[in-house]
Amino acid sequence: MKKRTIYQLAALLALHSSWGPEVKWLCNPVLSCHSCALSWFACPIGVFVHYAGYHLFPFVALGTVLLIGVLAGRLFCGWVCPFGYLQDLLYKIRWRKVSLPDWTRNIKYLVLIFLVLLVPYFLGETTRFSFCRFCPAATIQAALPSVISTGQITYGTVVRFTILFGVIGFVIVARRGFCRVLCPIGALMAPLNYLSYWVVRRPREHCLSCRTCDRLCPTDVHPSERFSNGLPANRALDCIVCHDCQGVCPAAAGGNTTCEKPR
Amino acid sequence: MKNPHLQNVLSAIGLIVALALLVVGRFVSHPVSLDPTIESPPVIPEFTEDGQVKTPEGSERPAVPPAISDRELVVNATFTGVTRIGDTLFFTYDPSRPRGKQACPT
Repeated sequence: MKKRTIYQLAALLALHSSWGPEVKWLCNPVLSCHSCALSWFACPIGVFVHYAGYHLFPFVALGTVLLIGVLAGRLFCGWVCPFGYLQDLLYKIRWRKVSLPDWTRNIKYLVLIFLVLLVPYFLGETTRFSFCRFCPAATIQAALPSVISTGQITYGTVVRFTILFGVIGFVIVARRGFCRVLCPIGALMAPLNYLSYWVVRRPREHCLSCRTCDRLCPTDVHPSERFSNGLPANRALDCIVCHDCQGVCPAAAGGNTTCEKPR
Repeated sequence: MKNPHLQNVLSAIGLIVALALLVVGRFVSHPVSLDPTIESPPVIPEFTEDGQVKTPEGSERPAVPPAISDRELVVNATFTGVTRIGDTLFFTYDPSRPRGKQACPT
């Protein structure tokens, strides 16, 4: 089992192990619904939706997210986020895989601006059109237990589950598809990759330009381009700081460490 | 961003802004009224030295706060414990009672 998988599994259990006490004033920048009965922390997106509806500035919530982002960038996306872990597992299902066009990466910024900020601002925090109403993590963690316990299925429930199944199908064929295209937390944290103190350094002084890291990158952000320019690999909007590019580098594994490109 | 000095400056600015938001958030409070449809005993709120609502002596119930801290509003936002009607924020529950674990209706 990979080191990152162990961390993801541990985070999944740790984040959803509240037997009673909670730290809900603290926003954890991962897609994990605070309505889950076992969750410890608040979801920043749910909090931002409500603050937009209140017409208030979320000092503590934004400060927490910004602090984590400046310190670690999108490290939590790669190592802590339970929905990211679910996507990693689903992508292992043998099915036809697709590569996403680059323009699709911009959709998540529209999701953040409209479904998290503008729509709740103008229609109120309990609007049926906020991101929380469609969030696939909330469907799994809150709506599914509710349906099981009450047996009530409404029109909203049907919409939620339709979107959830659509997202599941999408992430089976597109690696980390939700993170790259739809996740508003990803959109929020993405620019902070450029500011973060956490860096993914190139494994050796000389990049072989073999592009092995590019092929294995879960979000297709071409880390070799930055390695060859002497930059940290995580200086990219969609990098989830998984460090996989370091792990697969043949130079780091004790292979050829010269500058020559392989023929 | 290839200039490491600019990188360091921007990172430091980001860190300072984050800490400033947390510090400001520590002192910001939001007035929240009681929902007129919820029955609640009229309690005069008392505060401890660090600004927390103090439980009156001889009462098991905490006093109803006239305003809540930003941190407490974040907690309330996780289960829509506060809603906005017009320009006023209202509790959607009786805050003088223990609330326990709550799920968000959204």
